[in-house]
Amino acid sequence: MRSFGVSLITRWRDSGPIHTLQTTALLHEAYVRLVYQSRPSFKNRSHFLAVAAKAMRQILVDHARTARRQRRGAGVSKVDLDEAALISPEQSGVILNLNDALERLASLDSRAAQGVELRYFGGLNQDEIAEVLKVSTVTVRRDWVFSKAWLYRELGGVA
Amino acid sequence: MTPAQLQTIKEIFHRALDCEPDKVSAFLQTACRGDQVLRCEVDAFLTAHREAGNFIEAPTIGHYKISESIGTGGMGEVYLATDIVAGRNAALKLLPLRFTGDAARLKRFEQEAHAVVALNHPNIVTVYEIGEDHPIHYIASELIEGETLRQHLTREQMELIEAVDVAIQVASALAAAQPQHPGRPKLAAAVRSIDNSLPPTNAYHAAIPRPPLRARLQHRGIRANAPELLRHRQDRCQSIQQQILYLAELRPLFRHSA
Repeated sequence: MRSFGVSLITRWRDSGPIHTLQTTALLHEAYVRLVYQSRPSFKNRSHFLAVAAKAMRQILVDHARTARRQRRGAGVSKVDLDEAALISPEQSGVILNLNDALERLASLDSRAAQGVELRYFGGLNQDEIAEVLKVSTVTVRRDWVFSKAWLYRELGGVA
Repeated sequence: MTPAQLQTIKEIFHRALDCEPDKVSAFLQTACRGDQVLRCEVDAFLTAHREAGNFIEAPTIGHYKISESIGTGGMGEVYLATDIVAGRNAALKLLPLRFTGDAARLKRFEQEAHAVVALNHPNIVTVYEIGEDHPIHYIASELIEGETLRQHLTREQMELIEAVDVAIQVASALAAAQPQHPGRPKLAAAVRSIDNSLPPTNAYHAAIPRPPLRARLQHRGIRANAPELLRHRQDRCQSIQQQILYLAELRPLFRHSA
C-alpha cells in the first residue's frame, strides 16, 4: 500500500492539476488522509484510484474554501494563513467553480463527471479511467470531449 | 435540463463530430427534428468544443505547456514544458507561490534571472526567458538531458583525462560567468595551458559536486547551472589542478555528500 501510495503521489504531481500549485504539502496531506486516517479497505487497484481521486478533490476544495475565507477577512491564526497560502486566491476560485460545475454535471451525467474527477484530480489516463468506470476507452474519450465542452460553457471559458 | 435531455444532446453532439464539416448542418437539421431548443443546445456545445482547445487539460504557464515535474531546485520546482510558440522543450522553474508575496525573495529571483539570461556560452545552460503568468513567476531555460556529476561519480571513478576535460569546460563556463572576477585571468590561463597539452577528448556525462559548482552535462559537453556559477566565490575555489586531482580521486579534498 505504501509503495503504491508513493507512486500515486508521483502521478498526482506529474499529471494532476496541482503541479501548478507546487503542492508537495498537499500531496503529503492527501497521502496521509488516504492511507493512514481513512483506512478504507480497497477492493482492487481501480477502487483505490477512484477513492484517491475523490480524496485529492476534497483536499483541494477544502484548501480553496479556506483561502476564500482568508480573503473575506475572517480572523484566523498564522498557521491557517500558511496553509491557505498553498493555494492562491485566483486558484481557489478556479477550484471551487470547477467543483460546483462538476457537481451540476454529476446530477445530469454521473459517469461523465466521474471521468473528469478521475482525470483532473486523480491524474488517471484514459485506460485507467476505463478500468475504473468499466467502460471502453472510446467511451471515456467521448465522455471527456463532451464534459470539456460542458465545463467550458459552465465556467465561461476560464479555468 | 434533465439527464435524459442531456443524453440526447450528447448523442447528437458526438454524431455531429463524426460528420464531415460540410454535412453537419444538414445532419443537425434531421437529428433535431425541428426542435429549436435542442438545436440551439447542440450548436452551443459544438461551439464550446471548438473553442475549448486545451481548456482544463495540461496547464499552461505563459506560452509553456507543462508536461511533468523533473525535479526540485533550490528556489522551486522544475518542470518539463513545451514552448508552444517556439515548438521546443524547455525546463521551467517556478517560484513557489508562497514566495510571490515575499518582496525580498521575489527580487532575488528576478535579479538572479536577469543576470543569467545575458550569458551565452557553450558550457552554460541557456536561459530563454524570465516571465510571469500571474501569480506565477518562472524562468524558462534550455532542457538538458543527462546525469549530474554527482550521479556519475557515485557510479564510477573518473579517469584523469576525463577529469581534466570536465575541469576545462567548467572553468571556461566560470570565466564566462564572472568576467569581472579578479581570478579570471588565472583561470583562463590555466584553461589554455591544459587544453593545449591534451588531445581532444569526447565529452561525457558528468558534473562537479564540490567545490560549489554544479553542472549538468549533455552528450556534447558540460553545461553549468548559471546561477551556481554566479554564486561561486573565488576564495572558496580550489585551483584547477586540485579540482582535477579531486575528480580523479587521486587526492580527495572534500567530504562530498552523496
